[in-house]
Amino acid sequence: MTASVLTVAFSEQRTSELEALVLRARGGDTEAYGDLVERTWSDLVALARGMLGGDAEAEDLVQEALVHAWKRLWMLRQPEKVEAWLRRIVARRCLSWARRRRPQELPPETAGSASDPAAGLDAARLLQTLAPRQRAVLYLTWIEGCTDKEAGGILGIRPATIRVHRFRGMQILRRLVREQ
Amino acid sequence: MTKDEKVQQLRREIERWSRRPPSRSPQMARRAVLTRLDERSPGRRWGLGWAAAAAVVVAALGLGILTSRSQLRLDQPVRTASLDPMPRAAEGMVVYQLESGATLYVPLAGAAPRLQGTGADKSVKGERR
Repeated sequence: MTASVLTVAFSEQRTSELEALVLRARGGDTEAYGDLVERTWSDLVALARGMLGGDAEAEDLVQEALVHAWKRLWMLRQPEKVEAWLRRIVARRCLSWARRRRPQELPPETAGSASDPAAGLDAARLLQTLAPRQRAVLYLTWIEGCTDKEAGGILGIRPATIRVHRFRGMQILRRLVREQ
Repeated sequence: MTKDEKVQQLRREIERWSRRPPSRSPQMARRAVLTRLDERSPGRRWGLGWAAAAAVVVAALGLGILTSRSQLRLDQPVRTASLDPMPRAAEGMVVYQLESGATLYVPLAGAAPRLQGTGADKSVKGERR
C-alpha cells in the first residue's frame, strides 16, 4: 500500500517536473530541453530497441526524434503528457524506418546480443523474425503493458488491428519457441 | 520446460534486453541533441518563422502580379510590331500585333482592352486614351 502510494507520488512529481521543463524549453531554454533529453533518454532507447528488434540504429533514431520534437514542441497541447508524446514520435519513426529497411539489410550483430544460453532463447533474433508492426505491437502491449487503445494511439492504428497483429505475432513466437 | 514457460521466459528476456543501459549515456545524448538544435529558432519561433516566410512569399507574388499588370496598362507606350493598327470596325475594335507575339484587342467603346497569346494570359485593365 505504502509502496504504491509512493510510486504514484513519484510519478506525479516526475510529470510536473517534465511539464516545467517543457514550458521553459518552449520559451527557448535549450538547457531545459537538454534536461528533458537526459531524463527520457533511457526509456526512449528501450522503446526503440524493442520496436526495432536490435540496437544498431535505436540510439540514432531516438536522437533524431528528439531533434525533431524540439522543432515541434510548440505543437504539444498538453505539456504534462510530454513523455507519451515523445514515445509516440519515437515509435512512429521506428515503425517507418523498419518498414523501409529490407529484411536482408538486417544488421547481423544485433542477433545474439541478447542470447540466453541457459534457456536457448535469443530475444533479438526472435523479434527480428516478426513483421515491423507485429514487433511494435507485441513490444508495446506485451512488454510495456500498454492497453490496445494506448498502443493504437502510439502507432496510429485501431485497437482491433492491434489485436490482430498481437495474435499473429504471438503465433509466430510460440512456433519459434517450440522449434528451439 | 513447457511452451508457455518458454514464452514467459522469452518475455522476460526481451524486457531485460531492451532495458540494458544505452551505449550513449544521457549526458552524451544531451550534448549530441543540443549541438543539433538551432538555438536561435526554438519551439514556437519555428512556427512563427514559417508563417512570416509564407507571408513574404504571398506579398512577393502579389507585388509581382501588380507589377505585371501595371506593365500592361494602356496609358503607357505600347511597342507594336505592326506600325499601323489593324482596324476591325465591323467587330468594334482595333487590333495590335505586339512584338512579344501577343495580340492586343482594344474595343472602340465600352469593354476593357484585353491581351491574347504569348505572355498575355491575363486580361488587361487600363485607361482608354
